[in-house]
Amino acid sequence: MRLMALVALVLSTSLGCQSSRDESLQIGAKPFAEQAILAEAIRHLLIEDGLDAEVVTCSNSFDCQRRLRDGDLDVMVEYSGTALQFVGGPTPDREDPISQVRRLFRPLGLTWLEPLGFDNSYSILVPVNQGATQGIESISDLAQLPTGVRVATPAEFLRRSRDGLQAMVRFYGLRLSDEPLVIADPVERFHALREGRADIAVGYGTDGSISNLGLTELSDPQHFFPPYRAAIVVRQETLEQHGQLEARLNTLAGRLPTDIMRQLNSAVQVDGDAPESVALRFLEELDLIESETPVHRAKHVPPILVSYSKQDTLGPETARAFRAVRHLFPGRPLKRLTSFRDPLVPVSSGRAHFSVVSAERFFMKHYRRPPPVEAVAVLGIRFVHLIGPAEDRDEGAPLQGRVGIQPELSSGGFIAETILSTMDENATLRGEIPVLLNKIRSGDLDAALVVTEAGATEIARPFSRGGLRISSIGSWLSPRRAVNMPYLRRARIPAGTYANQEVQIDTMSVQVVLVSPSREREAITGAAGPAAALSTPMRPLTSAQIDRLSEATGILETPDAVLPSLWTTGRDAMDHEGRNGSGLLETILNLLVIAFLAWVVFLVLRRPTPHAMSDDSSS
Amino acid sequence: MVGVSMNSKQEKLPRTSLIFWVSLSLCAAVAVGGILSPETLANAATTYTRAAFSALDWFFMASVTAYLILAVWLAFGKYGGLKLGRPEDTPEFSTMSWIAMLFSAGMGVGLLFWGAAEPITHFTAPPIGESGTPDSARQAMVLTNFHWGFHAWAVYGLGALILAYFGFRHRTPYLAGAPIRYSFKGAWAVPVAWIADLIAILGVAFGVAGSLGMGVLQLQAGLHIVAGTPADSTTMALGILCALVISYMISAATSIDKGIKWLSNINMALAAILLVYILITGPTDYILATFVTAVSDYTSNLVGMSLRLYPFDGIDEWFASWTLTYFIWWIAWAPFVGIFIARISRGRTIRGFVLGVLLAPTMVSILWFSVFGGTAMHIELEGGGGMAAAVTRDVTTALFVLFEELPLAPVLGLISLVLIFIFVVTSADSATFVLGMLTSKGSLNPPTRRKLAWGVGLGAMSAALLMSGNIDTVKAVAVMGAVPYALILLLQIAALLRTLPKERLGQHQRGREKEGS
Repeated sequence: MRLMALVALVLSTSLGCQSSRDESLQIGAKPFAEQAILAEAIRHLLIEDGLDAEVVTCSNSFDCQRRLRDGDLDVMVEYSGTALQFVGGPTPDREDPISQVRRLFRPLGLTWLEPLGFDNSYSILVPVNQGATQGIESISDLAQLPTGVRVATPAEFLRRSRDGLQAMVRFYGLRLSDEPLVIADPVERFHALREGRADIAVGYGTDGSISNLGLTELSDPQHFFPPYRAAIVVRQETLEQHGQLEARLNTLAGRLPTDIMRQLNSAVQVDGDAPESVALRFLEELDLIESETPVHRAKHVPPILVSYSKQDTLGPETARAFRAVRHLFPGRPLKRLTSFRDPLVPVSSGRAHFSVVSAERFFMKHYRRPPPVEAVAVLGIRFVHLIGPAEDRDEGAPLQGRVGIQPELSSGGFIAETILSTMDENATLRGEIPVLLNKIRSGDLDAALVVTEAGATEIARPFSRGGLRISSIGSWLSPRRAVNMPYLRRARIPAGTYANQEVQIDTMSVQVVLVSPSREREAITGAAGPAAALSTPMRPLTSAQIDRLSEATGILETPDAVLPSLWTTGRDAMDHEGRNGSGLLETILNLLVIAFLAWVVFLVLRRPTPHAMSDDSSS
Repeated sequence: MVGVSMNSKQEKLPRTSLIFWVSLSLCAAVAVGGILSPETLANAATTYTRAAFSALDWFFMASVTAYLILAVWLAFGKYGGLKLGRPEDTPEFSTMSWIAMLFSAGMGVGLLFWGAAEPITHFTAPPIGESGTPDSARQAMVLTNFHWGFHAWAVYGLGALILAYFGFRHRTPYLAGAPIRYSFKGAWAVPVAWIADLIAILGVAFGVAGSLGMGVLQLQAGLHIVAGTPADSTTMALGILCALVISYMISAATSIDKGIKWLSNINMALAAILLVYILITGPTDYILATFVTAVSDYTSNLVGMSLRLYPFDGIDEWFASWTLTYFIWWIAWAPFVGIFIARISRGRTIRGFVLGVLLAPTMVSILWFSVFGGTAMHIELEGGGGMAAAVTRDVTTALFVLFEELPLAPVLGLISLVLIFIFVVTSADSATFVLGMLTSKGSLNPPTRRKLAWGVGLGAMSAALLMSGNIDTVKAVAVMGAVPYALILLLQIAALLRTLPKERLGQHQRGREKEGS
């Protein structure tokens, strides 16, 4: 939905820019990121050549195809496999798919240009070593699932008759256990997978989000899916009208191998960048257009700065933060700012707009009073994992002995260190999670106490090889300890999150939040005023912006009540009586002013004294 | 007259010298403190202003509206015909120059930046109702004009009127405390008047130093957008400040009818060129229709808006950061603009003064916002769009994005940078003049040495603020004077209300009085 809105936004701006609607070339785009990026790239190539062009989003492949044949569209990017569905399906021979579609489409007045370079096949994805699909490597193996397959898919895959879901199910003899979950946004689709709401997710080979979400692709042993080589398709009459068009569009040929396309998609899907700016950057890098900035883009827009600590390894949360911030400030460049010690510092000192932090950062000892920042959105939840060797059946004192924790200055390292210190224990070893787990396996450590998201790949992968076990630690959080570590909450890791984990794990969780300057810090003198034209670079967000931000993260949970946020300090930035003693100051000011007013009224109304008569009014 | 001034000389000479040294050393202390410990300065300034403004919102809102009512009553009441000066006095400046100077001193650079940005901001994020609709467009124009219209000029005008009345008619010095000293004979009056003088001086100094600092940052942002110079280098900021200081010092070294007058006239000429250029090259009929609608909407909504505090709409935050902020800014600037306007208004009648100060600038700003805001709305509603996105992205870029839609965009960008520069120089020059006046017994032509001393002082304070690197501090310092000055203004009004009934009205006024009763 967000993607659609983004595309619609780009569309409306680009539509508006064109003066003569009839003359301009119509570029078709299906409603997903890749098509939007490529359509924008084509548009800017054409604009560079002095042609007028606009992007039209069609509702799906069928719609695009129909409009292209009817002449409503002049050009679009199509995939060979998809196109063949419209002209009778792929022939079993070994003919190159591009020459095949060329041959079949020429009678229709449509010309296929040189392939762009990537193959955007459908891919069937499963989470790495997690859930019911563990050990399954190919689509045909899915038939082994006893209860049938639960699918998360985009809507179009349901409808396609020859290379769609039903065709695939029949081809491989699978059984669906439920109605398929239809989710348009690929990232949300993969989240459904990771959360166990589906067993497989349908994606595209060029999806930008596959690599960093811990998913693997199932093989297609019997070649159910035809190749989907992407190429630009143009109406023959359009090519004839504009002589230079073919050569111009062919400059893109072969320039988009799969990994490049994946990066471009990732910029839109994961980072939330606008398709148009992604396309422009790409064209500028290839020197296909002059890097002279087009109208409507201010030249030196200051970037939004998001700081985070590398040691915290908050990968998915940082990606989510980028998406949300991009959504809030569309078209504005984002810059990552890595900080070594405390990621709150750049925000509290006014050098960054946002920071991605784990909640315990607010309670570091070096803050004598709360830093002037507030949590504006929840980015994720991390769980305390106490991992030990599988054969260790002693549940009594899991925190004793040789315990490894995450590196110094990292969020997880700090939490684990604090937990250990309450038991008068010290960490034996500090290291990244895979290192620690290897040491457990080799017998060098008795346990690892680490903080990460539930189902994290770096734990899930070693777990699938066996020999490890997660223990419950939730009972450690006594009320007294909860006071000292207020950012920890009792929580449970669901059963089946890791291989061979049959029961829930009782443990603690901590929120990862997006932080921005405190609204309290801003002087009441907002952005307005006669001399206040300058935009304060690091201004706090308004409550409406905060609402939009937490909507954009997709996590509706509010920041923990112990953190300063919109929900704990009140929506009204001025409503802070009682904090910092300013309530008393405000009352005194009010009383003084009222007394003063009374005195002024008395001065005006009392009877004039005779000697106050002025002596020079006669002059 | 000689006797009076001799008298005041004997009485106040030690105190006025004292006030010069006390105020200058207080400013120096703030400057030094700001350089040595910017954190402390930032905390103190923001804590104080925040507490004062959040507690006293009702007071500011009510008093600004009261000033407007009082100004209208003075203009149309029985004292309207009184002349600010002797019967034979005539206005020192032509009405055009007078309005130009009013405008340059009072609104300054904000008008340039908010011209397109404010209507678009209210259009995309209206306090009430749905955004982006025709209704929200109308509401946006009304709100903008409400913020920049009669209320602002009532604050300035009333402050100026009182000083001009006492100064030109009763020969008091042009000091904030003078009306109090003149009208009240209690033992409290002398120290209170002295404190009033001091508050006015500090208010002007802090306000202008803050504004100067902001002007520097605005120029830096503008240069960054137009020429791509570094956006956040302190060295660059201090360089711009140096250029500003040199310029206003040169202007301050000349007399008021050369330096400030010429600068104001150049300002107005450049602003008028921009206005007319956009009016012609932009959507002319659309702009004119916007103007007529805005005048009608503004006047018909004036009464309702003046006393509306939106307690039921849940928009306190909006109200605080817009309407209230504007009103506080106008009060913070009043000691400076008020004294300056008083200085240039000798020889006008109360009615002529009030009407001139209220009507002319308000009409000009409605026209201004209709041209800039109307063009921006036209781009947004009928044209290619992009204004709303630009404003959301960065308010400072709004003006330049607007220019990109018009022919000769780079030239327009350059003109507006020159305009910002001159606006800031004019404000700073007027401020050194006013400070010179305030610290030399209210002399209408303060000695140049004293003006230059203040010029250096203002520059040093701005440098300190810039070096603190915290824009919140700059803003907080700029409006710090608003609270005490609002109280002083009330005392001045009390003084005026007690002195006016003792006026022996001329035949004409007496006749009117009888007719009325």
